[in-house]
Amino acid sequence: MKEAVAGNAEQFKHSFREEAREILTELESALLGLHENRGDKEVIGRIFRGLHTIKGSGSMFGFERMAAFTHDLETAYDHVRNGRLEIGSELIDLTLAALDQIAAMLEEGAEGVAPADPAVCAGILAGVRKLASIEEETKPAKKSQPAPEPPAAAAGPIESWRIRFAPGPDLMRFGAKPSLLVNELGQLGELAARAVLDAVPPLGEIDPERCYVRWEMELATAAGAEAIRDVFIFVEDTCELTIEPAAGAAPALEETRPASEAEITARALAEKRNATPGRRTYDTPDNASSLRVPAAKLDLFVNLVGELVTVQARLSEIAAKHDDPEIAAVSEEVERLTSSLRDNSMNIRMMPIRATFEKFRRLVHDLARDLGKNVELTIEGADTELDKTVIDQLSDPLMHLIRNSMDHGIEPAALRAARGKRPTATIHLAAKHSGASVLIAVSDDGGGIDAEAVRNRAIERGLVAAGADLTEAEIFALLFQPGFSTAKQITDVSGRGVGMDVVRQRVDSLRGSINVASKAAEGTTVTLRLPLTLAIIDGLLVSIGDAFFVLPLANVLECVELTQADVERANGKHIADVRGEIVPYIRLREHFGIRTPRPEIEQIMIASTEGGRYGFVVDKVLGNCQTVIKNLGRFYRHVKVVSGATILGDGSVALVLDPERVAHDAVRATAHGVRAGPSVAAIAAAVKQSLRGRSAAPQRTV
Amino acid sequence: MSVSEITETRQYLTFKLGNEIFATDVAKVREVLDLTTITQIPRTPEFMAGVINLRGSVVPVVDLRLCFEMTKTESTRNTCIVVVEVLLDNESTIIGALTDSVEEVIDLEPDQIQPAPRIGTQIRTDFIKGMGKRDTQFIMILDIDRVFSAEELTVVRGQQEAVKQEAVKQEAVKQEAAKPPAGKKHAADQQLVAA
Repeated sequence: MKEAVAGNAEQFKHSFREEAREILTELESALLGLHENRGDKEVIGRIFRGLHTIKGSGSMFGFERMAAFTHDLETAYDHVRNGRLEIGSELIDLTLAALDQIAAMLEEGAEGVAPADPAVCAGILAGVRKLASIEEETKPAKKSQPAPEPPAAAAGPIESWRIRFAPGPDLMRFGAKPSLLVNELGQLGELAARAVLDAVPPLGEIDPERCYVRWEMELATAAGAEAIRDVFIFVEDTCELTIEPAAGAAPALEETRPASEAEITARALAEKRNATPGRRTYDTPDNASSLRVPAAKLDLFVNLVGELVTVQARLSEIAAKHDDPEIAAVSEEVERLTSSLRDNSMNIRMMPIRATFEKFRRLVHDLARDLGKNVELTIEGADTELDKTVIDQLSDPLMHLIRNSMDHGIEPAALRAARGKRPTATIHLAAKHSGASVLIAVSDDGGGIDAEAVRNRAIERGLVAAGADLTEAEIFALLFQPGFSTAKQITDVSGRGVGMDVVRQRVDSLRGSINVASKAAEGTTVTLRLPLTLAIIDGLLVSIGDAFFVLPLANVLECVELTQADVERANGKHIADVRGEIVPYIRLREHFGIRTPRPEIEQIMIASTEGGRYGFVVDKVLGNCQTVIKNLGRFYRHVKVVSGATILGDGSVALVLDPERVAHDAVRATAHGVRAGPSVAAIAAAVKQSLRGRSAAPQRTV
Repeated sequence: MSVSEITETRQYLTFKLGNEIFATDVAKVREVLDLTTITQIPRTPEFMAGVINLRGSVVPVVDLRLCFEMTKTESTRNTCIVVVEVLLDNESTIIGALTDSVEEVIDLEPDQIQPAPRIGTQIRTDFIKGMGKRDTQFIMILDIDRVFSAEELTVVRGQQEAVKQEAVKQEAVKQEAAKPPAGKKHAADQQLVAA
C-alpha cells in the first residue's frame, strides 16, 4: 500500500517537475528580457508569479529546500514589484544563478545531474538578502512555518473570501497534502477553516488513501482571488474549488467554535443568491483546450499510423487487382481516411521552434559576459513548426554553432570599432520553411571565416593535397571534419574542433545538409537544411530492373521520357533538353551498378536539389505512394544515397532515395573520375573506339 | 569474451558455411528464416547483402561467407537467414546473417570447449570464442558481437572501395550503355564517324 502511494506521489512529483521546468525556462527568458527593459512592470509581475508558484507547489510536493531557497528571491521581486527595490544587473545575474540551483534541486536524485551546491545557494541568498535588505531586517525569512501575520508586502484593501475546497478522492494518492494547502492559505491572511467530515465512512470501510474531507474556509486577505487560486494551482484539475467573495463586510473571524454546517450552508446559499457576477468557479478548468501527453505515447501512435499506411497500401493493391467496385470504393475511402489520419498525426508532432531558440538567450548572455563581448541575440521565425524529434536533436548543433560564432566569429570590441561596426554584435537565429525542408540559420556579424587559414590548416593536417583546387564551399566544408580547428588557442568555449563535427554528425543523422556562407569582416551564416518530418513522406515509386525506389515527391518537379533518340542526340553526354533548358541527368542504373537490360524508353525524374536541377533516370514510374520511412539502422548508417527503406504493399522493400545525396555523390564520382581515373574525354574516346571496332563486325548483337 | 568466461553448459545453434560448422550462443539468436528476397542497397560493400522485410521492420542482412573471406553465398534450398541480436557500440541491433544451412541446437559443456588455436583457422581468430568438438567434428563458436562490430568498422573503408569499384564498373556500364541497340547501330556509327 505504502509503495503504491509512493509511486503515485512520484508521478505527481514528476508532473510538478515538468511544470516547474517550464516555469524556469519562462523565468529565464523573462529575466533576460528584463535585462533590456528594466522598467517592464508586467515582466516583473511574471517573474514574481513564477517564483511564487515554484515556492508554493515546491513545498507542497516535498521540495522543502527549494521552497525555502526560493522564498527570499520571491521577497526580493516583491520589493521590485512594489517599487521598493531597483532592478539591476546584479540582481538579474543572482537570479539567473539561483534558477540554475533551483533546476538542480528539481532534478535532485536523477542520474548524472550535479546536485545543488549548498555553498553556492547560501552565497546567492546572501547576495539577494543584501540587495533586498529593507525587508530582511524586519522579517525573518522562514517560510516553512506558517507566517503568523499576513505579509506586510500585501497591498490593497482587505477583502473576505469564502472558499469551498473539496479535494478529489485521489488527491492524497497523488502525494498532495491538503493540510499544506490550508496552511498556505493561512499565510495569505486571516483564515477560519472548518473541515466537513460528513463524508467520512465508518472506520472499517475507510480507505486510508482516499480523501473524504471537504473544507469550508473564510479568508480575509488583501491578496485577491488570483493569489488564492495560485495556492490550489496543482490540484485544481482534481478538486472542486469555489472561491467567492463573502457577502458580509467582515466575516465572523473571532468565531472560535465553527458554525454548524446547516448555518454555513444557509449562509452560503444566501450569498450565492446575491453573489456578484465576478464570482469564479473552477469546476471546469479553462486549460482543457490543450493536453500534456508523454512523447512516448505519441511515438507509439505515429508508429501505428505508419503501420496502418502500409496495410492500406496493401489493400489498395488488392483492390486494384480485383475488379470489384465495392472493394474499390472501400479501399478508396480507407485511403482517404488514412491519408488525413497520417497528416493529422504528423501535425500533432509539429512544434514551434521557439522554445529551442529562446533557450539560447541565456547561453548568449552568459557567454557574452564570460568573453567580455557585447552580444545580442535576435530571433526570427520562432513560430516555424518542426517535427518534435527534429527539434530535440537540434539543440546541440545550434549550441555549438552559437558558441563558435561567439568565440571565433565575433571580434573583440576594439577590432569592431576599428572596422566601424556597431559595438554590440548580433547573433541572429532564423527559421523558415522551404518546401519539405526547414532552413535554420545561425548568423553573426563578426569577422567571417578566413578561407585561406582553413585551407592552410587542412593542408597542414593532410586533409587536402597542397595544390588542390578547392571552391569556397569545399573549403568551408572542411570545417566540419572531426578534430579540425583553426583556433590558435583552445579556450573554455571552443577550439577543440569537436563542436563542428558534432553539428555535422547530428545534421547527417537527421538527413539534413549544412551550408556555410561567409564574408571576411562582415560575418558568417551557417544554414542547416532539415527535413520537416522523419516518419512519413509522399513519394513517387519508380523501378529500375527489379529494384524499387522511392523518390520524395517534394523534390520531384516533373517526369520526362528519355528515348534512345534523345540519348543519341546528346552524343552520349548525360544531358537532357527539357523545353529548351539543359538538365544534366544521372543514370541511376549505372550509378547503382544495376545490371539488367535497359528498356527502350526510360524516364527522367527532374528533381530540384541544392546544387540545381538534376534528372534521375529510372526505368519506370509506377505512381504515387505514401511512404513510411523505416530507418536502415546502425549497420547502414554510412550509406548516404539511401535515406531509409519502406515496405510496399506486396511486402517487398523499396529504398527511399535522397536526391540531394545521390546528386552530390554522382558529382563527386565524376570529379574523382576526372582526377584519378580516366577523364571523361578518355572515356568518350574509348566509347568511340569500341563503336568503331564494332562497326567493323556488324553482325555481333548487343 | 574469451573461452575462460564460458563456465556453464550453454546451448549453441550450429550452422554451416561451406563445409565448416560454426556455432553461436542461442541467447543471441532471435529466429531463423528461410531465404527471402533481399533488397540490395546501392553503393555498399558486397558483404552487406541488403535488407529484408521482417514482419514490417527492415532488417539488414550480412553475407557471413564474405565476412570470412569465403566466396559469395549461393542461394540453395538450405540457405537460411539467422536473425541475431548483437551489440554495436553498446546498442542492441538486429542483424540477419546469411548461412548455407542451419544444423541444430546443441549443448556444450565448458570442458568441451577449447580456446581457438592461433593458427590453422581460415577466419580471424578474434572472431572465435572457442572451439567445440562434437563427435569428430570441430565447431567454431563465433563471438558474433565481435564479427559485426569489426565488420562495421570496415564499412567506411569498404564504402570507399565500393565507390572506386563502382567507378570502374560504371565505366564499363557506360560503354555498354553507349552501345545503341542493334537495329539503330548503323546510323549511330555513321553519326559518330561523321563526328
